[in-house]
Order: sequence, then structure tokens, then C-alpha cells
Amino acid sequence: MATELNKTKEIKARLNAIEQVRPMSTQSDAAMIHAVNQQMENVRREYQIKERESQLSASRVVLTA
Amino acid sequence: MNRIYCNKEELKDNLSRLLTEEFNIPNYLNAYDSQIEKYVTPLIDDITIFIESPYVDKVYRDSYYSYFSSKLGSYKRDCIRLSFFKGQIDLSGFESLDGVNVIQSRYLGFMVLRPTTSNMIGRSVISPRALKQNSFLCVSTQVHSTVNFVKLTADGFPHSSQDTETISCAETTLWAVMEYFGNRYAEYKPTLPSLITSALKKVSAERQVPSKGLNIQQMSYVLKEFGFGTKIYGRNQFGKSEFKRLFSTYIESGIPIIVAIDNRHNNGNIGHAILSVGHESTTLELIDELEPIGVSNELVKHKLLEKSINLFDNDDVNKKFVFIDDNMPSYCLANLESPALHYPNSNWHNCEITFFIVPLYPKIYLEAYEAKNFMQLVLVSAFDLKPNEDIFLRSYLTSSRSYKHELMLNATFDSTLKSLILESNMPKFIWVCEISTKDLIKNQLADGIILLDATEANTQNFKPLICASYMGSYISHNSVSGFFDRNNLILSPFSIFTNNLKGF
Repeated sequence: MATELNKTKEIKARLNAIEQVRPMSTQSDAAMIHAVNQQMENVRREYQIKERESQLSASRVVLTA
Repeated sequence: MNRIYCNKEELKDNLSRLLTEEFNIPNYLNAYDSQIEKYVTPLIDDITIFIESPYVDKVYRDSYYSYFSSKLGSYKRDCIRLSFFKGQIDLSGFESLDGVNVIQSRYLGFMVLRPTTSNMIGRSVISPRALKQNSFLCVSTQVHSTVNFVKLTADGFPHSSQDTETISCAETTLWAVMEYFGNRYAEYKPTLPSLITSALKKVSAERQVPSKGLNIQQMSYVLKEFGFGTKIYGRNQFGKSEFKRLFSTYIESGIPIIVAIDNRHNNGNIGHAILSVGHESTTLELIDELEPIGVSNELVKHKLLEKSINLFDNDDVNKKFVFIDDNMPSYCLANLESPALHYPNSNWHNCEITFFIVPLYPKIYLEAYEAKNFMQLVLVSAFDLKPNEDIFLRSYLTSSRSYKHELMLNATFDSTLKSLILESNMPKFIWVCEISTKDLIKNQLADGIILLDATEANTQNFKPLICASYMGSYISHNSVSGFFDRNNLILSPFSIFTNNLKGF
């Protein structure tokens, strides 16, 4: 006899039934995600500079010993 | 054919005689004392050795046919191989299946001696179990070999000394990386010195043999040609603290990294390539000594200050790292600040790590710097953190296959959340951040987790986030609504993942 082993469907249905699930779609959720986006944009710019400079500098270091 | 079985005390006499007979090395050169002894001394005393010659070593034969044989002088083409065993072995055991199983359980690896008189240590795979000092964690691979005509498997990290003509430290390091990945994963294959030279042919303006070393960019290029998505990190560019954290993150991920050490900025003339493959075990004292990280990100800093939270990073733990150095025996332990302090020549003592190269799987598009920043932002933004808490973060890369395997077997992980995470779609590699406290981590426990898709380099709108669970919330993406859902689910303390380095 076949047995379906999808517990996620069952758990989500149970959580929904007792109102323990909330979509992160409110204004404050959007503001939070927007703030993280802005910070990550800065992180990305910083990283790109550091990465490029690492590459350029690495070409001048010869390893022989 | 010579086959000699002896103990550690008898090795010198037997081997010295063979070196003279097989390699024509005159006795007055004291080859054993000057070159081999330092590799034998760190081995456990209760070790026996099987010496075989002539031995055809694929790596030396490649150097021999592509270089040494083209010289006027006469060079030998055969090697000597030493195989190591824990305690005494019953030689009649080689002739029965049960006996071979016993011998395999005592097998501690092999070391090849090349007829390159001044640099004899060739291809080696020695198990950390063969060492007197082995309280460290490191990655290893299984390499097939034969001893006394019987197939055995050595488990350790590949090592070789440079011959200084076909392979310098740079090529030796590249060879060891490929030997590790090629023997461990089907995606890669082991390489040979001449293939490393060939890979650089298109971008070299000068002849490559005799080798005069490689620059870091050339090493990165070779790894890229061999199928990796390499990344280079510079200490001056990323800053000392961040550089050390990134180094530690990749080691915690079980990825061997190529390390450039040099002292040219300290008026020296040394530039050397080594590998880092692990670290010493994390002790309770090391955790106690740990200081909170100085966060640079404005949003993270603000949120932590607002709630008087101290954030600790596992990558700041002041532990020693394990290095594979072609000038030294396998598995040297050293601090990141002084990686060559154990060298007998004091000229090396002011060497510092200036760069490292990470051979990443090519589809890991999200690298450590961005992933770690993103995980900190998710932690402080998406969860309602308790004031005055001490939070300890441990970040690493792993394959989703290994992570799910360990999670499935983890009896301490909440069963509801376990099912939700196991049944989540994941790419081949994921970033994991385990959220803990100093007290919990001392018992190797955590009470929160953030999982990221390592193939998602676009960090906008939480795109890399697979799921996160902390402070009574479980956040995961709802593919129907397109939003993330916050589920009220409590994750109790669970045992951390230790599969990358087989320990913490």
C-alpha cells in the first residue's frame, strides 16, 4: 500500500487552522525588507571594490619559496 | 624488488641502505637525517613501516618524462614507497580477506621518496591518526594504493614537497588541491605537474619550466581552468579582522584554501603558497575568551545597541589552523597572525598571510562576505530579539545533501521544523547560520537557524533566504502568495552540524 510522506502540507494546514501563520505582507514588513535591501546594496558595493582590488593586488605577488 | 617490513627504530638503517642502492645517494650526504627524519619524528612510536622499491609514482614519472629525462645528467625514474601501520601487522594477513581487513584498519597511509636528491619527499597521504599530536579537525580524502601487492585505501590530505624544478610551492599546492578534490568528488579529477604547466600555457609570456613560482592570479586561473569558481581575498583590501573571519568561515565550511604568506612588506624576500585544511578543536576557554564583534553595518549596529545585545562570531575564536606546507611535514598547526613561526629559519618568522584563494564549486554565486552580512541583517531585522542577550553566530557552507542527511538523523531537532526544513527545495550548496549563545555553544547546541540559497547572488527582497527559525518564529517563502510566511513555531536547542570537519 502506498504511503504519502508529505508532512509540510499537513503541518501548514494545521498551523493555518489555528491561525499561527501570518504572511509578511504588512507595511512594516515591507519597510523592514526595504531597509535590508538598502543595506545589502551598500554591502555589495563595498564587496565589489574589495574583490576587484584583491584581484589587482594578487597579480603582483609571486609565490616561489 | 625490495620489500622490507620494519619498526620506527629500524627505519633509518634500512632506508639509508636503500637510498644508496636505489638512488645512488652517497652516505656522506646523510639524506635520512637531513630530509626524512623530520617527517618520521612526528609519527606515533607504535608504528611499523613497509618499504617497497622500485615504486612507479605517477606524479614523479610525469615530472621525469616531461623534464628530468630531457637533461644530459642521469636521473633515476623509480621511487621508494613507505607505507605506515599502527602497531605490528601479521604479514600472513596479506594472503586472506579477513587478514586484509585487519591490515586496512591499521593502515595509516603512505609516503613516496623521489630520487630528486635535495627534495626527496614526494606524493604522500598520511592519516592524522599516524601523528602523536592530532587533536585537530581537518578535511581528508581517500586515496587508493597498494602495499605488498594488496589494494588498500589511505585516508588523509595529500602532501608533497616541491622538487624546485618542475614544481615550486605554487604548483605543489595546486596539485594537492586537485588530488584532494579529484579523489573525493566526481566533478573534478587529480592533476599532474605537466598539466598545471599546460593550463598556464596560453597566459604565460615566458617558459614555465624550470619553475620560478606563480603569482596568485595565475594560481586562481589554473583552478578556474580545472573547473572551480575561484575567489581571491586580500588582507589589505578586506581589513585584518574581516579577512580572518572570511578565512575561518571557509575552513569551517570544509573547503581547503590556498594561502599566500609573504614578508616582502616587512623588508623580506619570501613569498610562499601553503594550504589550510582545518583547525584545532574549539575549547571552552577559547569560547570564554571570545570578545563581541565590532559590527560595521549601520542597521545591525543600531539594532544591537538599541537592545544592548552582544554579537559573537565563531570565526573570531582565536584558534590555530591546520596547514599543509610543502616545506614541512603534513598538518602543521599555526596561528593566522604568525603562520611561519615554527620555521627553524628565523627569516620566515615575520611572514604574514596576505591573500587566500578559495576553490568554490562554480555555482556557488553567493560568497562569504555578502552571505554573512545578509545573515546578520536577517537576524536583527526579521526577529524580535530579546534585550541584553549574548548571541553567538556560526556560519558555514555545506551541501544540502549532507545537511539534510545530518538533520534527518538529528534526534535533538524539533520534529515539526525538521520536516518543514527537510521538505524545502534546496540547491546543491547552502549557507547555514546557526544562532546560539556562549553557554549553549559550549555544549555544541544552537537555538536558531538561517538557511540561504548559495546559488542566489541577488540579495534583494530576501531572495537567498530559504528559511529561518528563531525566537518562536519560522520564516519561509510561500510560493503561492509570493510573500514570506511567519509561522509560530518554537525551535528548542538542538545539536549543531559538525559534518564539514567532523567536529567543532
